Amino acid sequence: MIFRRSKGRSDDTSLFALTQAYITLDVKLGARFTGNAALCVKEASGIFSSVLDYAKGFLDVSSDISYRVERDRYGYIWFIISTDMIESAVVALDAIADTFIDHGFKGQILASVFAFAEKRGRFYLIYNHRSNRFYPFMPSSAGARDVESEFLIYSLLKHELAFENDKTKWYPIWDIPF
Amino acid sequence: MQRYEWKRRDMGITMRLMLCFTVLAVLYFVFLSVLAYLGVGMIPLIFLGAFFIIMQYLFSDRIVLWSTGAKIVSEHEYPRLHAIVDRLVVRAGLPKPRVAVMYTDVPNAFATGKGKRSSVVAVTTGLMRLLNDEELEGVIAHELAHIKNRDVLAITLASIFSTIAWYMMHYGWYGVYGYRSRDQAGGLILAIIIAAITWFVSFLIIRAISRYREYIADRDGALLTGKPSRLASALMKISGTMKRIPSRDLREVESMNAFFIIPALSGDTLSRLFSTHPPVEERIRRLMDMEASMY
Repeated sequence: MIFRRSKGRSDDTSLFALTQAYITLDVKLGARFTGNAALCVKEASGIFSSVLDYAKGFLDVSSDISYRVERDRYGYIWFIISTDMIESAVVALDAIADTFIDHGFKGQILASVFAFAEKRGRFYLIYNHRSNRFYPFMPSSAGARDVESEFLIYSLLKHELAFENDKTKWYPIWDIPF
Repeated sequence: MQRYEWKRRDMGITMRLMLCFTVLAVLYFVFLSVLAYLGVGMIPLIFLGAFFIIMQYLFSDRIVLWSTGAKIVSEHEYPRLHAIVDRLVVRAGLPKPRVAVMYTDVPNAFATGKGKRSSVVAVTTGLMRLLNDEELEGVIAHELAHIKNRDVLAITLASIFSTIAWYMMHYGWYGVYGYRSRDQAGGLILAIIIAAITWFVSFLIIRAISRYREYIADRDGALLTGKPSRLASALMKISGTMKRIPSRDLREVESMNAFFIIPALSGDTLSRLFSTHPPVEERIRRLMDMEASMY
């Protein structure tokens, strides 16, 4: 339309933009990184298990983070890492995601998930490694989500972080184990 | 000053409105000049068209109440609704409008009336059931903004000439094949073409004005409640946007490769051009941006 203006958009599509955006989250929303983040990967056959060991080995030698590995009822492997610094979480998840990608398992990666705490509750920023975009997810009660808060987080961060603009792709991940 | 950034006037919208009205005014001037040049005695028709519109305007509240089946309700019947209206009008500096309720499950609301004093705000019972108090307050503030901005008057005025042009088209057409002599036919065809163009362009412009008045009412309503996100949330509930946010787990969806099946839909510009209301997605986006700027 003639009266429509083009919208400004962040072109930094990497996971690392999150460290900058976190400052905005902290200052404006008072949201804190809970210290937990995870990479969620679908289990596969063959050399997948050795890639898994390789990723674990990488996390073993990272001094500032601890981690645990869980398997959920969908058959997904969760690398759940704990660290005080969101920067360490971003670096670690990016590194182990690269490990899977380098061995041809890009399609097995579901998402990277970062947990934040805010006065209205806990919310997650989910990063899709295929579209290189984030979207917010705030579960409110069993099976329901706080869409209004999600939209607010989206509006606050959309100029700093590459967000999935198509909201019909904001698929929730229920029962995130952290 | 940084703190009050969100209250800043939206100059973009104001400028666009002024542009629209200017284009309309020029258009009508050209149209009337051509008529005068042709010496067409259509004054009775113009008066008739104007008369109809003025009558429609004067009786707008009664026509609207009658056609929607909205009933004026007292404070005893709907204390919660009245309380919300009372608090808003005090802060908006408006006389209290009459409050009406429509008994239907469809969530909707409207404001009507020729002036600030004789206005009516109506909501459906479905709206009251669907929304919580703060969301209802957001919707009512939006309707009060329509009253404060005299939107009914603005749209009526904008429609007057469009309607006259429409009558002209018919009258002129009738003239060509009717009693007019042959040498006048050329002039009449010109008049018809110009009337048609005038009607079509003003039709589009009125719709554009109507859409921007919706944005302004959203904005002014949000300024009144101080919580843009509440109106956004109400719009999400009314429009079913909430339902389009998926609730199905990503892991279930992933197993069907849904990410690659769903096609990206776009290109409804034409329908946008003809609609009186802006797309809800866009209204929600603007309201949430406004909310975000308050943090």
